[in-house]
Amino acid sequence: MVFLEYIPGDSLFHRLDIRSKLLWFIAVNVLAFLFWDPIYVGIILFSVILAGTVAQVPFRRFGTLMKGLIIPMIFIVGYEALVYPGEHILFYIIPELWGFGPYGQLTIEGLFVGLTFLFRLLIMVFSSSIFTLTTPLDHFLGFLQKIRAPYQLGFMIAVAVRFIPTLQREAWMIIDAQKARGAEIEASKGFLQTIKMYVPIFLPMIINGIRRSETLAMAMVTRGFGVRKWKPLKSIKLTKIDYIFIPICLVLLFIGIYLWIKGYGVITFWGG
Amino acid sequence: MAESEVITIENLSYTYPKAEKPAIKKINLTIKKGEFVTIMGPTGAGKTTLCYAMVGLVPQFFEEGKMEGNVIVKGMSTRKYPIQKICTVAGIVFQDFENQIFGITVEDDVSYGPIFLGFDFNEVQRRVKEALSLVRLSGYEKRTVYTLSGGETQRLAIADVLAMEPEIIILDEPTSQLDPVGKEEVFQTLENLRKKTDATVVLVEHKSEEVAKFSDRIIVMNNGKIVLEGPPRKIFEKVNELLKIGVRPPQVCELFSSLKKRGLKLNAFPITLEEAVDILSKTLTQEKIVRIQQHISTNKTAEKVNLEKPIIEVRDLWHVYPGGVEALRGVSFNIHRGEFVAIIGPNGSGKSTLLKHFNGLLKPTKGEVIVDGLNIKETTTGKLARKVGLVFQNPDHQLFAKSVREEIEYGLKNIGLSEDQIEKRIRNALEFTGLEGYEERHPLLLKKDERQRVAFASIIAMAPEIIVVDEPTTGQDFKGSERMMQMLTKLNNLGKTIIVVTHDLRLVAEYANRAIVLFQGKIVVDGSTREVFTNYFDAMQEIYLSPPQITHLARMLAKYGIRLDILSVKEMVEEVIQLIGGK
Repeated sequence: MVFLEYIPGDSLFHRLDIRSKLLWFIAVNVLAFLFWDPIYVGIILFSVILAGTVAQVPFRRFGTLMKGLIIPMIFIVGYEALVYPGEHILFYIIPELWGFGPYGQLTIEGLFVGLTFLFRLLIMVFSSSIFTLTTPLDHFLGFLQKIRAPYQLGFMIAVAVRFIPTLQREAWMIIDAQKARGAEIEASKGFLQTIKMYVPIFLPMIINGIRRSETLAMAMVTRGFGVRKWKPLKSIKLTKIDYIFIPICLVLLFIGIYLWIKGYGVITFWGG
Repeated sequence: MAESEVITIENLSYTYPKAEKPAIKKINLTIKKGEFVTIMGPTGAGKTTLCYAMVGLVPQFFEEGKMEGNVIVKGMSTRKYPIQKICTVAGIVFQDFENQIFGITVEDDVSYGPIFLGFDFNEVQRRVKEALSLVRLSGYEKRTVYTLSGGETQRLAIADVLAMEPEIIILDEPTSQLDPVGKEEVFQTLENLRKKTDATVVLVEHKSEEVAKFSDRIIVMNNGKIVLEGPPRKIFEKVNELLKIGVRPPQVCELFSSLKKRGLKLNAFPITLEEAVDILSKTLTQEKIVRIQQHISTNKTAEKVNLEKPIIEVRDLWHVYPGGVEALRGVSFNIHRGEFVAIIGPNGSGKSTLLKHFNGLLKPTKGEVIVDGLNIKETTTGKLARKVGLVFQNPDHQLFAKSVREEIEYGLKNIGLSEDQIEKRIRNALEFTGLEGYEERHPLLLKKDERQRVAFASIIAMAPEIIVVDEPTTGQDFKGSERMMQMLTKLNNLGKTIIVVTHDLRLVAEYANRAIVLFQGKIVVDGSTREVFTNYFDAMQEIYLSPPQITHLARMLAKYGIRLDILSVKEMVEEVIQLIGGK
């Protein structure tokens, strides 16, 4: 799992306060959505990849995620290239034949818009991963506390995250147990059949979940839950690097907005 | 209340909400400061309920239950004081070790208690450090909890309670779900607590051989009542009574009780291995030894040369998980029709990985597995399910239907049997597992051992030639384990091939005729059970597989002429009688 996972480290991003990273995340994504020129958005993407390298994010881990996204990505670029009402036509998908057509014009502008969408998608995936991979849960909880969210919310999130791997492991055990009883889980059937097929997996999960919650609740009260408001052990604090990082982010964001107001970064075609 | 009494229970009865019968009845018990008390008894005896009553979970956690009598913990009535107050003097470790952990890292988890109680940062840190050191988990602070082994997780659960700094620690079957290494770790932790703190400990435990070593007092429960109470020596003497209740005494106690019945005069009764060695060595040197020559018995059930084609062939099997863990590294063996094989080895040795190849849940990375002529690489699990019945450890991972009948039907429908056949198979399976009359019961409302039998019935109804059972006895009491093993023996006698994975070497010694020992993904020993337990005794100990106490005893008495290859109490009785010429 790439999301929700924290990879310990000592990079700049690991040392930044969660609020600094949140600002960076917002700035990068706002800018990516302001501009339409793939060169501008490409520069932002490049900066995000650079940030990822600084944050020591293992890009290999995105492999499986990317594999699943390749077809949608090609589709996005292709679709935009086809439907965007551009002027510079590259070629037609169905050329003119016997006075029929041409249909499906592929324009340079459309291709650019497609690329921009693609870059935005990658920026979202990478920036959010950089954010979560370098931020331990403590910082999230500290943040919730800072914004005065109810303490139960933070505690609930912490407990939920704790049980994700346990539930995953349990799901696999249940699937194995039902397969051993001759269940063909992968075989694709109709919609209703598919639902029926999963009943023997979901039901044990729900029932075990109820049993689990009873033990959990007993463990919590016998360890004093409810005596006082819970707060995370470590509270978050801005340090020197944050005081340098935050102004830089803000300046870059304002420069970006200024350029956007001035009309830069729209789709142009400098060929004429 | 006397000064030294930390828990006083007067006339306690408790009925759970919606239950018909009380779970515990008229319990009177006092526990003194610094005592180490062990509660034993079969499943359903009321041990857990009694534990819950000592921390106020009973009656406060379960609404609308009915409680009579009183429980006073350090002067606090559990009726009046909130659980969160009582837990500062009496902490509890639950049997279900995984779900009582709610922190993400070890440090998080231990710190929750003290934080809830409102201590400041430094105090929390101090308590976390101390608690982790007592359970020998120092240095694990930053580890995520799901990367811990079973033994480590259970020790963490103990640390969680220690961080509350209670005077009384209650542990409800802390070792029953663990492998031998984990059990050993937990027992060492308890030993450490005894030495380094003055805590009062209440322990629920089945392992009598360990209990005998460090309990001050044993309480035996049955049907919600305390039936025996006293120091270990007094309790374990009553071998027959204990067996009838469903509590297994240490093997040395069984041995001495049998020897006495056979008319042998023994001047003392041992409860530990060392004591037994001491007493028997004296007896054996005094008595005139009839038979001096040591003879190693020739194995009577010596393997017939099997010309038949094996039913399972495993050839140079490798399995590498994504991520690179080599779970199996070149395993080869054959299993013939009608064998009763035990696969043993510490956790992480590759046992479960191996099992999942028998019905194709996993496919070999390299090598081959042929089951009854089918190469599992090319056969679906659905097809293999007719030949191989794999029973998993936890029945709750498979039960989902509204009735026992439907539960068993599921597999039979999957393999496409006709209505008539299904009906017949269900009837047979229920009869075999002793569940007649349960057809319309809801599986999830049954007791744990009944649920286990339903899961088992749902597999054998598919009439597989090979029955593979993963940990058939974990979490079961002595009677439940015996019943399970007897059912497997019966199937074996009907010609079925049985493969069990288990940590309980006492059961292996008594039931299996062949043992395959796995370690770090390789087979280290494969042979008849007797041969494996005798010739590879030391090697097994090195990988934390401890042969039964009686085999230990035989080994320690070898210089007095006792045979080395003894596997059961019965064999030892005969050997001793023969040796000293008893009647």
